[in-house]
Amino acid sequence: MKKTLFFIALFCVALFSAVFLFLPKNLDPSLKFEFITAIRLPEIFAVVLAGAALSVSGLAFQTVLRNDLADPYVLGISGGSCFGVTLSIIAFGGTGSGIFFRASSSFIFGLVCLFIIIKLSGNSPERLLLLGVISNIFFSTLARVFTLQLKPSELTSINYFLLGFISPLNSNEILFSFAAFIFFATPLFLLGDEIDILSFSDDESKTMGVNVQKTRILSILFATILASLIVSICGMIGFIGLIVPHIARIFTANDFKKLFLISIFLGPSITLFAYSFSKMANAKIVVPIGLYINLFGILFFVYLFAKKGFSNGA
Amino acid sequence: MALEVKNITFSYNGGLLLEDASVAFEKSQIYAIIGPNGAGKTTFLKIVLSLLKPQSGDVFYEGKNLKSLTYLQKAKIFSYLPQMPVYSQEDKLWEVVKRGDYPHRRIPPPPRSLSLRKEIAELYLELKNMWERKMSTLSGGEIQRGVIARVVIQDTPVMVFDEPLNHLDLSHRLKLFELFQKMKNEGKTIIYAVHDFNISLEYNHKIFLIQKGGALKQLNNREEEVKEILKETYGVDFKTAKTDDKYYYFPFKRKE
Repeated sequence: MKKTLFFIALFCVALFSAVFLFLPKNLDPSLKFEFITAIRLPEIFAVVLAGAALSVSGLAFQTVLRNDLADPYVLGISGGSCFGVTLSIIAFGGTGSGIFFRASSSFIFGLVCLFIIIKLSGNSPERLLLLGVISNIFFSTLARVFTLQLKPSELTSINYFLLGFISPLNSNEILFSFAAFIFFATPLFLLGDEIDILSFSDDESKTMGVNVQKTRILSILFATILASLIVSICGMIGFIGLIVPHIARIFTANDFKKLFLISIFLGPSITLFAYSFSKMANAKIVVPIGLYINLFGILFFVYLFAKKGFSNGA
Repeated sequence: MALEVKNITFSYNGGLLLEDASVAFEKSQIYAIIGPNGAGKTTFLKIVLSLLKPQSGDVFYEGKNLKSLTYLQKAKIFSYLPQMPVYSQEDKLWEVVKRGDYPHRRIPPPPRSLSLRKEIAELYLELKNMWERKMSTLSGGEIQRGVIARVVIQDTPVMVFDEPLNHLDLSHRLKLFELFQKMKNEGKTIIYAVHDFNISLEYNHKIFLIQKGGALKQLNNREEEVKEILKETYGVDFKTAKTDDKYYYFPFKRKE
């Protein structure tokens, strides 16, 4: 509980810095409030949501698939979802006929991708990851091929999207994505005890009272929905789902519910710091947030890798 | 009659493992299942637990067909230690063991308080000072005692163990059998698969033999009869030793 409070505090600090620090230098003080509410907050909402949803999604995949390297990006869901969003943008132009359609298309392609990859990998963690990488490259390339017929102006928006660009969300979109997040993250959290039991063999889990098949399918489904929702808002953002659960595990027991609570605050803290960082570099222009998060993520990843490597070698 | 296995036939890849097998397991009894490798001991246990579906036959607990029960309901009746337990290397022992309490958190009441169950496991399996250790730092025998503790925490009326003596040293084997004895005195049914059944004879457990080809028979400790059956089953000769009016059996290779 104390640990969760610490991460809530960290989240508040990150939120404060993202909202109030690094405003454009020559901003008229009378416009400050307007600037924050109209421009900053919708972006920050997406940044927070991305951090939270990708982190708990990654946590679920890592636990359920018993694979330390699993996350929505590595599993190829992001690539498939990205392709789905691109298709809906090409078919309907602009924002792809609204966020609901965009998110659904993102989810369907993400799920199909995940399904194919899990089937082909035949329970081997190495094959799973390799196939995920192949799928990501294949689908994001395919998305680019499809965009070749577009006008240059539309092309730019898709390119930004593929880089992890936070599109300005209107209030309906914010409401929709927030509701979707609560609607699917809550049951995922409630499945925590069952997900923990899946760390035993299927036979053991069944004799301990868990419907293995149902738990596995539901948690993978919720995790995929959460990840594809984020792709439909922010494009491809990698590594967050991978590193946040690993950091959370340093602080608490291997207990899904505890890890979930930490991840849901730690994830947004990291994405908010990445966001602040991008604003520090240039407060005026809208920078693809995915670029900064990826950069942050890779640094964390290298750190974790080095740390694990050393402790195993000793 | 606590548990009844009726007319089970099970074949796998064309080979018959059990043929029309029927057994009744009583409350306050301990049953040892012996038999050669691949004869179907594990299969038999999994059928009892309804983890495997036999081609024909049913299993009843207190008159209820197990087919009609949910996983959670069955978890209040059975607990199970598989031959090769799976667990997360990164977890601490108590995190693994505590999960055995899951069905009782979902369907109250729990059999007895969690702290009491923990004490019993700690006493009989000698786990003091080990709860906070990571699984990856434990030895083979310590892990085996730890995963047995998970079954003790589940504390069900029927407890099924597949080769629980694996990795245990001789004194811990005796302590495990003392634990079985305690559970038996509380009215539980214990069923376990084992290879070296001399300790089972020592503790007067009922012994069932599964032979290749599907026969399941009870072994009564009469010297010549048992020697004959064992030779037929394992294809080697057996010497006997007798202490306190009880026979014990040891395989040996005849010199030609």
